[in-house]
Amino acid sequence: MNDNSLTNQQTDRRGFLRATAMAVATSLAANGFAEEKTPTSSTPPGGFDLPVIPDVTWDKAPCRFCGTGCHVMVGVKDGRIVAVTGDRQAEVNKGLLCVKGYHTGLILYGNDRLKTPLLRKNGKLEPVSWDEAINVIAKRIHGAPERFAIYGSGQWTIPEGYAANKFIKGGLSNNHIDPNARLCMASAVTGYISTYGVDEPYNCYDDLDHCDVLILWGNNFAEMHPVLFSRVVDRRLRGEKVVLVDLTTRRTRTSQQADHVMIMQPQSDMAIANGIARELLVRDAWSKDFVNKHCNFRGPGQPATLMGEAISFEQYRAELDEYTPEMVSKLSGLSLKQLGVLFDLFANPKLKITSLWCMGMNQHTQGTAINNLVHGVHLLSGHWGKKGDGPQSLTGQPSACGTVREVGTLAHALPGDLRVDDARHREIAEKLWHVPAGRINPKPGYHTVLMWEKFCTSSTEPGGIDTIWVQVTNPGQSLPNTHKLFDAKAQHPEKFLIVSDVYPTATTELADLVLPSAMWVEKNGVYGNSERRTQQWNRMVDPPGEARDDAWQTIAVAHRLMELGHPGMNDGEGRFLFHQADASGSELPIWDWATYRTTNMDERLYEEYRPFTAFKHKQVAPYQELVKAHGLRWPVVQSADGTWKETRYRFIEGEDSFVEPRKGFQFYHSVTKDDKALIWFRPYVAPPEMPDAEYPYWLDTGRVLEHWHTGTMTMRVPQLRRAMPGAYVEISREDAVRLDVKTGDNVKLATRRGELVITAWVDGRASCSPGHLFVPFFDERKLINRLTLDAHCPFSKEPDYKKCAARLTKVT
Amino acid sequence: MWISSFVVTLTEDIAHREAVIEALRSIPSFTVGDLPTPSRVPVVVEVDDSQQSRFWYDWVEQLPGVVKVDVAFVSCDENDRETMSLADAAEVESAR
Repeated sequence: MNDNSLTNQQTDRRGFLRATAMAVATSLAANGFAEEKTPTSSTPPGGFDLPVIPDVTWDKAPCRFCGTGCHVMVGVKDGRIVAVTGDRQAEVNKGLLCVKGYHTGLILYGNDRLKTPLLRKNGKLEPVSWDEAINVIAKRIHGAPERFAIYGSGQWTIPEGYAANKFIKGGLSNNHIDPNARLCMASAVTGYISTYGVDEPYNCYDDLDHCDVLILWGNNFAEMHPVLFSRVVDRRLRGEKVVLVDLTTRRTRTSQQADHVMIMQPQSDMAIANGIARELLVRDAWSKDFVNKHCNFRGPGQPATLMGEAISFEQYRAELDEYTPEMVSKLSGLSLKQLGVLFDLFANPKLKITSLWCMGMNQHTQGTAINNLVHGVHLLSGHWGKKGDGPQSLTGQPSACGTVREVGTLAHALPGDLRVDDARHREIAEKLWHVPAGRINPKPGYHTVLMWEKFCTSSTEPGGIDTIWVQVTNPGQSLPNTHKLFDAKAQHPEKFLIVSDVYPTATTELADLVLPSAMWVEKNGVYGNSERRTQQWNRMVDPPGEARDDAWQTIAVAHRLMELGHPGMNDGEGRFLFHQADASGSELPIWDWATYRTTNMDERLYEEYRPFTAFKHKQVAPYQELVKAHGLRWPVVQSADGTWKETRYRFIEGEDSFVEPRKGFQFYHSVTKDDKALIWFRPYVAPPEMPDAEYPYWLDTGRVLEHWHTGTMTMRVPQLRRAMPGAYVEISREDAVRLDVKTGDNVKLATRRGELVITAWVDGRASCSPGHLFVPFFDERKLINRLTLDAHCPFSKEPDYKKCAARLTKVT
Repeated sequence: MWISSFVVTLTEDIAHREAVIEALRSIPSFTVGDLPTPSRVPVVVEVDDSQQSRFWYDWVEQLPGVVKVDVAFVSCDENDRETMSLADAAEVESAR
C-alpha cells in the first residue's frame, strides 16, 4: 500500500467516524429522554442504530461506575476497546452517558495494572506464581478458618459475590464476610426491612418521568447520578413542570437547577421529617384512607431496636407533638417559610412527589431512623405507590443491590434476603448448596467496622481476625478513621492481608499478598442496579498479564483447601463445594484457570444462585433472558405464553404478579404479617460529635463528578485526573476571610483522629456555608478518612462520613 | 485522532441559545449538526488526542446557557491509545 492510499484510507475512516458520531448525537438530540421514544427491555441488544465501523465488534455492558446502571455499547478491535457509545436501547440512559461513562473504556489501560501475584518477602512485594499464591492463602485459612474474613464489594459481580459467600458461609462455617457497601447503603437496607419487611425499593426510575415534585434529601443528584438527573432536566425542557427541592447542607451543582434550595444543619433531616409528619396531622391532611388500609404505627421501644414496638396512632401523634415548625426551624436552620413549602407539598394529594436519597441519609449515625422517617412521611401523606409518587434510595456502586443486598454478602445474610440467624433460612440454604445440615453458622459475622477493628488489634484477643482477603475495594482509603481501622495493621506483623485488585492502592501498600484481577469486560459479569435491574455482559477482551477473575481466585483457594483436607470444602455428597460437571457428567476442573476460562462459570454460578431469589419474591431472570435484554427488573416472572415479564412496581396489583387479586395494594412481606407497612416515629438524636471551641467546623466528605470513589481507576485516566487533579478542602468565603486563607493556600485540617495538610478552595465547586467544610475522598495522597468518624448507626452499622468536628488553620 | 460527539442541552433563554450555537460554530474542530429540537444541539469534536477532547467537553459545559452536556459517542485509534498510555504513566509516576 503506498502513502497516498494509506492517507486516503485514513481520511475515509475519519469521515466515516465523523458521520457516525454525528448520526448518533443527532438521533439522541432528537429523542432525548422522551418517553414515547423509549425502547423496551425486550428490544434485542444491538438490534438497531448501532454504529457500523469496519473491523469493530460491539457488545453491551453496564457502565462500571456508580449505581445508576447505564448501559454502554463497547466497540472492540484487535482485542482492545476502541469506541464507546451509549446504548440507545437501554431504558436507564437511552443512549446518553455522563463524563465517567465517556472514559469508561480507558480504565483498563492504566500503565501500572497489576499483572502478576505479589507476595511480601522481607518487607517487599515480590512476584510469585499463582500456584504459590493460592497455596499461601489456603494454608493460612486452613490454620485458623474461624479467624479468617472476606471483605468484599458492591463492585463484585453477582457470581463473584455468590462464590465468596458460599465459600465462607457454606464451606468454612464462618460468617465473617462483609462488603464495602456496608459503608454506603446498609441504612437503606435496614430502613426498607423495618418499614415493609423486605429490602430494596418497590419503585423504579420511571418515577423520574412522572413526578411533579422531586425532593433530594442530602443528595447531590446532578453530579452523582447525572444521567438520571438528565431525565428530569429533559422533562423541564419539554415544558413539563417538575418542582425540584434540594434539601442539603451545601450548595452543589444540583442546587443550581433547584426551585428551592434549603440549606439545613447536619442531622436535622430527622427533625424536618418529623416536622412534616406533625404538620400533616395538625392540618388534618394525612391520607386516612391509605393509612387505615395499609399502615401500622411503630416506635423505637426502650431500648430502641431495629423492629421497635407497636404504638397507637394517638401515641404517634403525641410523640410528634414537640416537632413544631418553630422547633424544627431552630434545629434545622430552615426558615418557617421554607418549612411551609415542604408542608404544603406533602399536604397536597394531587401532586406526585418523589423523594431520592443516597449517602446523605445513609451515612448517618441515625441512618435507619432517617430512612424510616422519610418512608413515613410518604406513607402518612399517601404519596406512595403511584407512578412518580414515592420514596426511593439510590446506590453508589454498580452492584450494591445485586451482589450485596440480593446475594447477601453482608455478615448476617444469606442469598435471597435470607438470614444466618434463622434456622429455616439456614435449612433452605444448606439444601440448595447440598451441604450437610448444620454447616452454616447461626451467629452473624463481623460487620465492616468490627471486622477491621478485630484485624487491627492483637491476635491474643479472643474472637480476633488474623487474615482478611479484600476483593474489588480499597479499604485503606475508604474505611472511616483509617488510622484505627486500617493503618494499625502495620503494628501487628502476625496479621495477613490479601488484596485482589487491578491497580496498586492504599490497601496494597500494607498487603502481604496482592492478586492481579480481571476487570469489567475482561470477564463475564452480572450486576444489579438501584432499581432492581439485573444486567449481564460478556467478556470482550483479555485481562493483562496473569490477571484472573476474582471468582476463579475464590474457587481455586477452595479447591486447594479441599486438597489440604478441610471438610467444609466438600458438599454433603463428598464432592467439591463448587462441583461442576460437563455434559457427560464428568467433573469439570474449574479450579484450573484454562478450564474456568472456557466454561461460562458466570452462568453456572448465577443459575445456582437464582433459586434463592424465590423465597422473598425477588425472582431474578434466567441468565439467557438477561443475555437478550438490557437488564430486567425483578421479580421477573414467566407468563403463560412463556415470555418473561419484569416488574416496575412491587406491591401494586396489575404491576406485581404476587399481589393477590382485588387487594389493590399489598405489602406482602409486612413486618406485622397483615400486609401493612410501618409508619415510624424515631426521635431526633444529636450527632455524636459536634463542633465546639476546640474543633469549631463541621467536616463533610464525599465524591466528585470526575472520580469514582477512591480514584483507583479514574485517577489513572489522564483526562479525568487533569479535570480534578487532587483533593481540596472547600471553605466558605466568610471563613476564608476570617482565617486569611485564599484559594490555593495550604491549610491544616484536624479532627480528634488525625490531621491533614491540604489545599484550600474558597467556595469550591460547590459552596459551603460558614462553619462547614467539605473534602472529597478520591485522592490517595490526601487520605481524608484518617480524620473521619467511625461512629455508626446502631442497626445498620453504617458509619457517618458526613459530619464530624474539625479545626482549620492556615499553614504559614 | 479522537472523534467524539456530544448532545449539548441549552436553556430556554433564546439569546443564550443563539450565543452558545455561535460559540460552538466558531471552533474549527467542532461540527455542529442540525438542531432536531431547539434545546438540544448535536456536536462532533475532532481533535488530535483525548486530552484535547476532554478540554473541549469542559469548555462547552462552562458556556453560559448550557444546562448539561451528555456524551453520545467516543472513538480513538491505535496511536491515540499509545499517547494516552504514555501520558498516563507520566502522571501516575509523578503522583506516587
